[in-house]
Amino acid sequence: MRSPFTQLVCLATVAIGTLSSFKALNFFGSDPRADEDHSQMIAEELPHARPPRGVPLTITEGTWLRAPGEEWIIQQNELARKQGLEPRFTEDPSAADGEGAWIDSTGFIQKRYDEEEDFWAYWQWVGPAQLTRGRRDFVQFCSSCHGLDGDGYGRSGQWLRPSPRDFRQTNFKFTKVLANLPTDDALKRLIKRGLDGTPMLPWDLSDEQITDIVQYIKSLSPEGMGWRDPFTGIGSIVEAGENPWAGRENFAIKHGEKVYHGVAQCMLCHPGYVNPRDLPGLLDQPEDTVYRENLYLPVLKDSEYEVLGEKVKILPPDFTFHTIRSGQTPQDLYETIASGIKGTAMPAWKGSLSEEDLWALAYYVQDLVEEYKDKPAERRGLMERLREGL
Amino acid sequence: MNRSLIGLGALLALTACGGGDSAPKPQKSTTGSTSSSTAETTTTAKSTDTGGAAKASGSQDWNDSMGTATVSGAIKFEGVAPENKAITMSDVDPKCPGGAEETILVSNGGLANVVISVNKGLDGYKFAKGTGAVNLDQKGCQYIPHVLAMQAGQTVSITNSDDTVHNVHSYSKRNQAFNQAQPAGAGAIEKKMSQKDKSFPIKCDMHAWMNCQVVVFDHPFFTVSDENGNFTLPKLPAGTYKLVAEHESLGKQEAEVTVADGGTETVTFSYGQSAP
Amino acid sequence: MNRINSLLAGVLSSRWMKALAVVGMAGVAEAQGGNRWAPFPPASDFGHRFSELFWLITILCSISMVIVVLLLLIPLLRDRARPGHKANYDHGSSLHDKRLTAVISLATFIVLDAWVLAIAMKDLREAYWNMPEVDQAETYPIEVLGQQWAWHFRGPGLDGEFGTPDDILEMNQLTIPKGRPVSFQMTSKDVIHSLFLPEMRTKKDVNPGSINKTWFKPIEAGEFTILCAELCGYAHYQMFGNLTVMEQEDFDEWEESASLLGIAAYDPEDEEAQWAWEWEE
Repeated sequence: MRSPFTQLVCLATVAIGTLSSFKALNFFGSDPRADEDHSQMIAEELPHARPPRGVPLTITEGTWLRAPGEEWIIQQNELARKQGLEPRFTEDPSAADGEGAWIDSTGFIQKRYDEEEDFWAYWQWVGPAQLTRGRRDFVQFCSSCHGLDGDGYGRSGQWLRPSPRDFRQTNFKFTKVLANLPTDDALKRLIKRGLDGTPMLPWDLSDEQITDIVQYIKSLSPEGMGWRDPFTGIGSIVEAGENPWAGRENFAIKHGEKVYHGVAQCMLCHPGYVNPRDLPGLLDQPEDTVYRENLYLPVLKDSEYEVLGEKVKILPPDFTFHTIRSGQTPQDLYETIASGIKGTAMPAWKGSLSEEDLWALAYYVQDLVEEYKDKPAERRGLMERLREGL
Repeated sequence: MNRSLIGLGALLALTACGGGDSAPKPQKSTTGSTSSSTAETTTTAKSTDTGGAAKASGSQDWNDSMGTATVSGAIKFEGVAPENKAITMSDVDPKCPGGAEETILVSNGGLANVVISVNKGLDGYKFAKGTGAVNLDQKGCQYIPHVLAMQAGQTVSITNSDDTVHNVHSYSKRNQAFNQAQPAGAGAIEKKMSQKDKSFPIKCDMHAWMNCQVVVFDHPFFTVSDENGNFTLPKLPAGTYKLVAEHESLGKQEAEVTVADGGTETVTFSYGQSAP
Repeated sequence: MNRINSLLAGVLSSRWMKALAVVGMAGVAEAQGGNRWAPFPPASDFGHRFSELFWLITILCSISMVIVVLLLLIPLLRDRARPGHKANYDHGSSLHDKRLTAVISLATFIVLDAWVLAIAMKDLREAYWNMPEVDQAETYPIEVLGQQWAWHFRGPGLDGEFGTPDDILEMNQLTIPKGRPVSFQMTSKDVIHSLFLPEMRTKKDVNPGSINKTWFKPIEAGEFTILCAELCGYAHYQMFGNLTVMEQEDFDEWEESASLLGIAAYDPEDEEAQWAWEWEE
């Protein structure tokens, strides 16, 4: 026989359990906190209040989004053929501007005409089921920073610099494409590898989940912008091609230093890493040239990114100190330098510098990171060498 | 304890049922300006084939010989022109010579760098896309010209005459925006502006003072006032037009003008310190 | 006798004995400077207290467990059913048994629990709760902001004041000097986190809406771990960082660079990014 005390504990447990289940099933009438206006009020009053309850998770309508163009479609067909599959897209001369267009056999990608703008563009249908799945995963994994509406101002994203992306601005920094908008693959890659030194983690999600999230993110662009604008170009990832310096890395670093301080003049925004006495030689300047103040510090630059309607500024990294966001191998650095960083002062260098110069820059930056980052003694030595000339 | 578990279970079941997936057919549920089905698409394509510009039925293809009228005039600046602030460039880049701001340039009472264009009255014509290239040079760490007007379809060819690096950062909304580096000695950057576009800036982030305004029109009747504020719009067909003058910081002004074949009309816009 | 032997062999090869053996090995490993069997050696000045307490509890529990298991063996062998002997059942409900139980419990409580409690309270009073004076010039203050799923740290920079342009901002990385007390004030943006520095033997919850304080004094330079010890959402497992303890002269150099870069990154128009609070005395 149980002791009276044990019986009492059991009884109390059952009573509390019953009462709480009644409450959960709303037997006592509606919970005042569930009232939307009331929760809105709480949200305004307290900085740390919960988001309003009843956040909609289900999306009932599908949407048309701008799809990558003809080149991408032909590429997809080639990929399918390589895998021994039937290509998805067939040429349909009647469907487009008389020159023919590639049309998806399932009708989910079409080339369509915009009457008002007199413009043809490829559009892609995203169904409500996929958007709903994407919305749910987005709310679970992304919304704490990127916000329940994708406005980049979730509870955990506030005060953050660099700020989390506002998906309504449809601008992305590290997708490594030359055009305005990245392809799905570029976005997926970014989500999977994350951004070092930021709370954008490498997301360990399944391919299907990331695909759904990407489609949902694209559907957040406002009417007439981003993926809802026929004119915005969608580019493919800038791939690092053959490495011209393979086996001659030391020469690449030397040459990279010359490019960095010479023709590319990276030290207009990033810090310079050579003594001012050596600079005129690299730049073909007279010996008594005066360079910008604080040559060994980066310069704060305007960006296109907005937080609460205000443009934020972005500091170009000091490679001996800051964490490189998107990979530290020469290949990663090549891709970042070649494609530029969207929405910031960092331009695309592909086409403006030779491949050799670009790779040399990548090697030089990698060398700076390896030699000096997180090594205070070495970094102090470097700074002393630089200050000698001042 | 059991009841509480049942209650929780019921609650979970309720939430789980909320998200039924039913995908409607993609075709019919679209809205907006893009045509929603292949059928509509083909009809539009046909109407394009017959030469209609979608809106007006009686419009005809434009060619240069059709216009003989001219509108000319001047942009006046009343009052004392503000002094343009000098820009010290050498503390950013020793290779930049220095200069002054170019926002409001007044000479002999005329205001330069105002874009004058025909806004209304051209519905009867269908204009072919522009051809050729327009040059935008970077010289002395400034853009030349400071204001660039061009026709949709034309290419802007951006060159760098300086001995330093620039980055050409276009903020266009309708044409492909870009941000391309251009070191000294690099080849020209050729970008086709295929759509008409409101005034947008091209900037250089490395030299923060550098900026250039670009406007893209879908017809050939536009010009930029010269350094004395004078402008000429030649080869206009007879008709009544709304002229729009737009300055990057002083805003827009409108005027109505009627010209006859072979005739010349004069229009004067006047800006002041407090002009709208 | 054979049966008793096999029984003993069974007990000795049981998983309890294995567990005891593991604990013993861990003790040896700790004495040898630590490897993967033992907790990391402490790197803060009061860390050894926590290690000592940990091992004291482990050893006391191990000894008392051995005693209990041995005592259990006596009735197990003596009263079991065997040829010519019926099993002997006893509920321990006689007054004698109750008294014996009470005496043993009390003795255990006094010897083990009260002893451990006394040492623990002494440690807490002398170390963990003994926050260094903040105005003391040598204390290095840090403001910690937790969020899903990252740690933000704000150092005061060269001027020693928070909320000024030269503040040092770090994410998932904290750099501190060796040999100086480091004082933390912490809060969270969203949910409850817990700042856990295992090598420094310190762990404290970080709550939204309140400022929690903790401190320690690192006595070894090197790279250590920063963890979140409170389940805070999906990516809790990815919420970790790196603690770098530098020699004072390295730290001075680092602090200067970091401060200058902080000034370079400071945008006075972007008030939203300045999340520092006034240091609470």
